[in-house]
Amino acid sequence: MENELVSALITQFPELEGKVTVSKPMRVSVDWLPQDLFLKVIYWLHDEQKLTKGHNVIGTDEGENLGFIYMISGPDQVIVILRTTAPKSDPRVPSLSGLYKSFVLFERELCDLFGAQVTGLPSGPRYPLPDNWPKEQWPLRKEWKPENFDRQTMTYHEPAQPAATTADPQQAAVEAKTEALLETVELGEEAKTATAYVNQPLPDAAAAKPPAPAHPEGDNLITVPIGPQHPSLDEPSTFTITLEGEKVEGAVIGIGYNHRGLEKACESRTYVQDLYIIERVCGICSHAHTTAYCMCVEQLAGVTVPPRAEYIRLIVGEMERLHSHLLWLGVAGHEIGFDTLFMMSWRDRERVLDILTVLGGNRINYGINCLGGVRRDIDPGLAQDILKTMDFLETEIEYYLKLAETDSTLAARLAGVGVLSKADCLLYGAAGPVARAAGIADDVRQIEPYGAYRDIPVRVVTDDHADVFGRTLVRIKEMLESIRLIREALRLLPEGPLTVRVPRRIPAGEAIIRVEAPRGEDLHYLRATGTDMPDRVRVRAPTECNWHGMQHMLEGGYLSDVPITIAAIDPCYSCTDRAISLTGHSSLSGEVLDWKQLREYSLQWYRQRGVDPSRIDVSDAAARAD
Amino acid sequence: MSIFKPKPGRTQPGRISGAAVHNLFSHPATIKYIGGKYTLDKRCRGLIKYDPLQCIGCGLCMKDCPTGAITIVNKGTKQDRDMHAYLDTGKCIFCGQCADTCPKKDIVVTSESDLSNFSRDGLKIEL
Amino acid sequence: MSVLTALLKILIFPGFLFLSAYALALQFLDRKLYARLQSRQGPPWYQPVADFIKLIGKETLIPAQANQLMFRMLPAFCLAAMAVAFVYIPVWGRGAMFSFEGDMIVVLYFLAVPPLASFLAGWYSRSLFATVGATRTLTQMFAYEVPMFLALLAPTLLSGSWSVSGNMAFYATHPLLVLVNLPALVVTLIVSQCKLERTPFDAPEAETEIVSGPLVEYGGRYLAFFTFSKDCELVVVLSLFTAMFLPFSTGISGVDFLLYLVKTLAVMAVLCLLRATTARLRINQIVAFCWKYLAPTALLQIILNLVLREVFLI
Repeated sequence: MENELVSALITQFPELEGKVTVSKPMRVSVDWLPQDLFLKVIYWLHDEQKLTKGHNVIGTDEGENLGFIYMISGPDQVIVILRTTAPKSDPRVPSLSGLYKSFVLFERELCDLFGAQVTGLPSGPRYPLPDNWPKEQWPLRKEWKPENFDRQTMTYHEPAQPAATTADPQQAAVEAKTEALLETVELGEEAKTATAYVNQPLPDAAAAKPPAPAHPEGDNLITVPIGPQHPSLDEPSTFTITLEGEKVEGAVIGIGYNHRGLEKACESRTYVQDLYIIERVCGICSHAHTTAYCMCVEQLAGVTVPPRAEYIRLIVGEMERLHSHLLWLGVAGHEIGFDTLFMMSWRDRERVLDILTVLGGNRINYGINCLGGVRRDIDPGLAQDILKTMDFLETEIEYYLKLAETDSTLAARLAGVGVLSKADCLLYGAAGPVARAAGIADDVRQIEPYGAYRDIPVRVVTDDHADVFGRTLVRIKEMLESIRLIREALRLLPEGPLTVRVPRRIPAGEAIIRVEAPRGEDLHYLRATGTDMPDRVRVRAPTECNWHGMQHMLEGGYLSDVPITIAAIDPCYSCTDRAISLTGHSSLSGEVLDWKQLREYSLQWYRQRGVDPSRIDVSDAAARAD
Repeated sequence: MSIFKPKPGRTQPGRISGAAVHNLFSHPATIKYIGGKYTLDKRCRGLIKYDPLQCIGCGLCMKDCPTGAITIVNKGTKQDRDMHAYLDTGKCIFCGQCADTCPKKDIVVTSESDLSNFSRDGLKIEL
Repeated sequence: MSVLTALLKILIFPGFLFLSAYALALQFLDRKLYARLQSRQGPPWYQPVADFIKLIGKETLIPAQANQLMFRMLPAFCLAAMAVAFVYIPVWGRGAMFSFEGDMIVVLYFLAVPPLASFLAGWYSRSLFATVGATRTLTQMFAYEVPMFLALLAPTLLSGSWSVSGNMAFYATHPLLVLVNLPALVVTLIVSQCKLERTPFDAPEAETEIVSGPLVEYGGRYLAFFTFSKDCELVVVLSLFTAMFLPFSTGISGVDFLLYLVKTLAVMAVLCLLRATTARLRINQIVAFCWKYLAPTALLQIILNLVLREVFLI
């Protein structure tokens, strides 16, 4: 498959001779191309070769230039990696979001994090940096150092010229704050009119515009903000829902509240330290992310993981899937007001977490993966415990399956809600259970088996309901499949060592690894330059693909169905947003409070109400506790 | 919407009632808020244990610590070592990487987890 | 009856004080049972009282755009309506504290106050989620009022008395006729759930959709009294239900009181089980359900009872 594609490419574009390589099974890598040639190639691949699935767009810093790496695939699932560059002085690149709908978020990232000018990108909310992020600050460029950035005032100090020392430091601080406020990003006129959404309204904008009336007169449309804080959202995000009566007429999705700068952080730490950052990309699929990261490092270092370690990775990965899907089932139950289902599935999830605690040493960030293998072994006693838990879970999950299929209130709330048909799934590049519920057998464990999945083939679960009901059935049936895989893996568990030594310095190269996380395809990109720190790490979590179809799913439904439709893609906001801690970024009034000031403020607040908490001697209490 | 939408089969309300009534007569899965006892498994990762006598002061654990929580200081001389280890439990993420890295296997992970303190300075402890 | 004993009856037993105590007790039992059905420990017995006291002590915030007077008045209004309605329902013995021919209609009208108060509270809060919740409350009210009135009228048509106490007295002499009212009993049971806005009919205060609906802006003591009056509503609805459809009594006041407790607790358990085993329906599904299934059933019951009365009991 790969070679056919390579020869077809070279026949069509003779100038590509010597630039196209099969870097690895299932990967066709094209070297850096000038933009015009690149565009010709990608259009040809899209139109003639039907490579219609856009996986990822990665920005890189190539010194004088910005690099853009595109990953696309077609029906035969071979990932073609195309690259193009643009000079930093004129970082213009055409938007491909017309070709691949799923590139919108990735291209917004290029604009925000690399300062690329993506021409033709549809206007919309900024992502992933906050709206008051200063202009001309592109954190993922190599010359941008986080230590020069003042988080309090949102200003970047050039290291060459240390901050001028004025006579009055307080005055200087005030000036700096004012300047920071003045430097806040101005949205383009087009973006302002196109959407009602902003992460945080700019100070003057908030003052100028009167608050929208709660009872709009004249037309029947009302706008309901779901988020940033709302009981049905487990992490912040904004869904601006326009309603006519109870029917959703329009939805604008705003994400990016959880941008933590993990990718930048990874670039300044060693491979070993990065493992723990990657583990914390997501609370639920921590194992999937570390597995992908470890596989990247292992591939670059050229080491083979011992089989026993691969089997243990499979067992933990499938247990993670079990706990993720049980969690989802509970959340889905809660969103539709079915709290008994919520409590019962979370009770069963605790059984999985108990086993994972014993196995890895922690409930959520198990820390079982290490570079070159796994850290802890499964002894026969533990294997027995796991099998016992699996027997218990099998009966429970079969019960949930029966329940989901036969309970009428569940059917009433789930069937026909949030429909994303097969054609739409392909168009918006949906991944994981969302795609599988529409009848697309999209499962990396089967397409491109890795680790122990080569020995234990996976039966992919699909469904053709294409709605929330289908997604529920797919997830429940996948849990039964996971139980089968765990039993099989425990039966076949080979003897041998757990780890293999991985050098501290990783030879130069790049790796692209796909791993099936509970929410879908998890794609990691890692580039090494021969030092002990990676040059670029890009984590593309499955949720990032599923956001694109969300607007389509919400519109036309009811307000009551909004929470369950959002929940049905199993969104993981921090996975999507990943990547400079924004503590203390300037608030609406432009006042920045640090920890100490906040404490002062709270003490004052209580004193005004006649309570003096400062008399409570904290140090004394600490002394007594010792 | 023109696509074919299969509907779920025969359904009845309240299918979970059997399990719900069963729950009523079985032991609750949660523990009492006041007075309930929960014990962590011995294999959980908690506070690390350090033996100053075996430590060679290579500093690999400090290099590999993802959060920079551990500090090892030699207060003596090169020949007559007097090793001290300090851990900021507010920073420690209990990953156990230091124990993995240590060439002398001098750092051991225990399941000790009662580490809360009223002040931030109290979180910095000497091992 | 002297004025003093009347006052004592209204204020203390079986009047307002008993209503309050029983409302808090029922709230606890409801929560505990709900928790145990979900395999949880549930709250300790003093939790409703603790919640109430804590809310009383909280700072009260009223939105600047809200109608101040209405915002403050509605909880008291709601509570007063429940206290008055309770007076006409038999608790101690066969007869209520006060009764007159047609008091059932009065009780029904007082029972319409909580949803209306809830609607007005939501509307005058001038908040987005509260407005959506208020609209849903009113929509739901229009859906269940008709089946509820029809179903509750059915037993009175058979007994010929439009008073709750008179109804109870009639069925005490004809206990087997209670069985005739079974369809209306089922309809009223479901409608009670709808009236009390509990799952599957809690669309007006759906937490995960519209935060908590009409009461979203309420806090502090106003919220405390609102939730308290909702608990009282539960007691009144349960008492009315038992008086109309389970009117079994012995004639000995103390025993009848115990019987009243047993009956209301049993009905509460059924409602709690219903709440625990269903998912929340959408508002359009609720309206469709009420009009498609409940109203025709109640109408059939009325026709049946009219015919029965004509044929057998004239």
